[in-house]
Amino acid sequence: MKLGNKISIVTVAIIAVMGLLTVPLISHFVGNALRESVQDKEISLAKVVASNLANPALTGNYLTVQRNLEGLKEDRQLVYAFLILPDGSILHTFKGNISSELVELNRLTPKQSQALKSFSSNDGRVEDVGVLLLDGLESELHIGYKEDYIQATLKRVFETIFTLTLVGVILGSLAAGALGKYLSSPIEKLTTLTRKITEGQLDHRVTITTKDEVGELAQSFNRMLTALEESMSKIRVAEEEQRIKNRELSVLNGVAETIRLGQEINTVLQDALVQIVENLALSGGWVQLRSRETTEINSIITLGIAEHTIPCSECEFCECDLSMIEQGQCLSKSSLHKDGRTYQVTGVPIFVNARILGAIYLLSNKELISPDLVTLQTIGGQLGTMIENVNLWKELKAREAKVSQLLEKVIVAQEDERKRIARELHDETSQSLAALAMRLKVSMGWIHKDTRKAEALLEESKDEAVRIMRELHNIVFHLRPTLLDDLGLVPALRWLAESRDWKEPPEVDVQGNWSKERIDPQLETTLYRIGQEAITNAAKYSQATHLFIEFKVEETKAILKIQDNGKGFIWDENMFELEQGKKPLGLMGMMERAALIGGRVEIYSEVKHGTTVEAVIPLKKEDNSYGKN
Amino acid sequence: MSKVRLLVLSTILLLLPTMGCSNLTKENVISLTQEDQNPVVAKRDVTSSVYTFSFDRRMDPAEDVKMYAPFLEYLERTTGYNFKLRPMAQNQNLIEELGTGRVDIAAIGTLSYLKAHQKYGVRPVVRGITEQGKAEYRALIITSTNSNLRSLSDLRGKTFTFGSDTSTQGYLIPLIMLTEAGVKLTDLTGYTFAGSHFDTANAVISGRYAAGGIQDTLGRELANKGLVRILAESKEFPSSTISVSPSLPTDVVKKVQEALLKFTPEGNDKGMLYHWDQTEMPLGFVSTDDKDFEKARIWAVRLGLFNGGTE
Repeated sequence: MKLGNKISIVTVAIIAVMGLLTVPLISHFVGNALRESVQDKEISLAKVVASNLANPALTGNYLTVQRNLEGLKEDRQLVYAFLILPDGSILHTFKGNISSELVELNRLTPKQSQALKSFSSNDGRVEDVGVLLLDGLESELHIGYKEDYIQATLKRVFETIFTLTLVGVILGSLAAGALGKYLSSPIEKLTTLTRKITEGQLDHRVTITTKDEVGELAQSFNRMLTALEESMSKIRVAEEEQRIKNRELSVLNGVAETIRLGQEINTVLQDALVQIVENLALSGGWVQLRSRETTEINSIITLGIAEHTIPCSECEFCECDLSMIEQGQCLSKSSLHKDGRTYQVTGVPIFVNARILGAIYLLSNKELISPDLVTLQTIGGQLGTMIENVNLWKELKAREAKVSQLLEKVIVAQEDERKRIARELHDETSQSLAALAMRLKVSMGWIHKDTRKAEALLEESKDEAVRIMRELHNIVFHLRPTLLDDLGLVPALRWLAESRDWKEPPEVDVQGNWSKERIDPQLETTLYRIGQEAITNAAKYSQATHLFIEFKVEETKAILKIQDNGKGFIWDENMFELEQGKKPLGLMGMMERAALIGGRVEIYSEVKHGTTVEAVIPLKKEDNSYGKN
Repeated sequence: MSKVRLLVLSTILLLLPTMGCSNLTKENVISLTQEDQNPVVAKRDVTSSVYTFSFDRRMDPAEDVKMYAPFLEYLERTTGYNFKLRPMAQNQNLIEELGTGRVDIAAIGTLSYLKAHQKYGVRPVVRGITEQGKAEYRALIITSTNSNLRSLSDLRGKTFTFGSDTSTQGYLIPLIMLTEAGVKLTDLTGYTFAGSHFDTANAVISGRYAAGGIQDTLGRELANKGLVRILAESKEFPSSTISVSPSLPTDVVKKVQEALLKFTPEGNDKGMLYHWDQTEMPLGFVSTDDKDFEKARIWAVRLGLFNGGTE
């Protein structure tokens, strides 16, 4: 049952009950009041009559008393009147004889001044009012009044009250119904609203403008809904942000998991593309990588789109720098028709350290939202770093191989050097010492026989010893020229060039500012070994007639250039990729030596135009002050 | 549904007290008249001893009753006896009633006492103290304010009214005053007994009678109000008495006398009294006996009042 109906029923019931209670109660009280009022009037009238009758009665003027009593009967409400005189005789208004029953019905007791008694008579309901004629006198006046009058009056009063109550109940019931409707209407509205809130419809409001408690409740309800709606909105936004962040993390994580240093770049990019497309719920895409030196595209990886349908584009983001990328200016948006549908194409650069390595292009049904673009830019950087790392990994591997080869060469070179020294000691020094010993032994034989001849032989032996000593000196000098330590790099190289076994010793020309300063001995030794290798190669292969040595010390670097005008050779960097045994280990050694101290070696050679080897090594400030000390 | 039932039940319970119950006992119907033509007499309480008190009419009978009713209450309270008031009808003789014992105690004037004593041996118990503080009173002869009477002798040829023919102040003393002034009743154009002092005053004020004899207290009050003019004032005579029937037992008389002597109408007993100041005993009583009335008795004899007529 609705609340309004309940209120109406309960209120009507209360009104009806109160009305039904009120009728008899009011009738009772009004009846009593009316009866008392009438009785008061009857008593007053009786006393007035008694007062009027007192003098004639006391003076024995009973006829006057009798007439006065009969005069009372003009009052239609009066049934009778009688006076009991002090001697017990009675004056009355009846035509016949008064009944003794009536006389004794309502007698006054000695201390009573008045008495009322209602009784049924043969003339209807009567109320007998008895009063003393005078206080202190044994004489009573009794007047009988018709009670029908009172009863009729009471009946009229009862009917009036009942009618008024009935009208009141009807009006009250109507008012109660209206009240119930009035009270329950806002509650019904609030109930409907609550139901809608339960269904999640928070945009509804209740329109109750009353200034009472219900109105305040409605306003509070509306404020609560506004707050709830704002909270829900914030939660939805937060959820959306969380979902986007999760997707972003998912994409970044997926992409990160695809990166394996040992794998080929294209494979990694293919896996990364799959992760991006799947996590961002895209339709497909492709990756373009440019060559390192030019803007030319040298690699394309696709997903969900054929390579021939990809629009041609050169390095779209090559003009971008890091700040532009960070500011989101390096994005491309275009559309693509494929299989009868139009896709949005979003391109972001693949970059590392502001260097553009390529671009990712992604197909979507609608334009990508800003957080996804940011994510894609991050992925672009991630992939760029990955590519860079893979390249560095490759270089590291290659360098490791080179170091291994050089180590092998060093060992071989050391063995060769040992062999050379052994051979020279055996072939030359040892033979010379044997010949010297033989010559000394012959000299000893002749010393007593022929002094002159002995002296000549000793002279020859001395010359032989000097020659042997020179040979030993040469062997030692070739191991490490003392010139390098004593006079510096350029004199050492000049001596080296001039002391090599040339077919036709060339003209050695030396230039540079080397005489002014010395550099760090370790750097000097490295440059000496590079120069030694270059001069040795020139002596061996170039057939040059002119050798040019230049050494310059600048603020931050030292440059050594060995140039010949020999027959030259066909220079190709791919020579380093040749199979074991064919690799130019001497050249590689020079380059590795320079690289170990942060320098580089450049080789320029053409057939018939000689060869130039230029070594550049970086200098620290203290390095080029060495010579000053 | 249980709530609806509860509501209905509550309503019925609430209404139950309001539902009237029919009167199961049938009321006796009183017949107002009866066939028997014998006079009906109201029953009287004859079991208890009640002493009857009466009085000389002084003023309006009803006023007299109102004055004496509280006085009797005082007597009842003080003596422990029961008293009832029995005013005399106009045609009733209080002297006879008192003398024969139908009235036990009565407040009567000097003239009534003298007659009652003379005929029945009625005894005086106390005399009233007037507002002058004496146990004597006077009578006044009054005339209307516009009257040209200047002395009692001017009454010759005029009309005169007495109070009651048993009244001392209304008849005996004014008659003595006229006699002393040399005015005989036959010198008057006419005279009458108005009945009471009130009636005498009314008769004079209205001009129906040229002058009248009246109680001095009332006469002065009326004169002060400008309603009458005092023509003459009498000598003092013994004031009204409370006398008892010769048949009343002595112990009762004694007890009544004691009570009367203790009566203080201006003291403790004032509150219960009604216009007691207008009586001839406004300040209480003094004891008295027959000797106090000798002078008055002489005048009564002289005037022939014991013989049923005047001299």
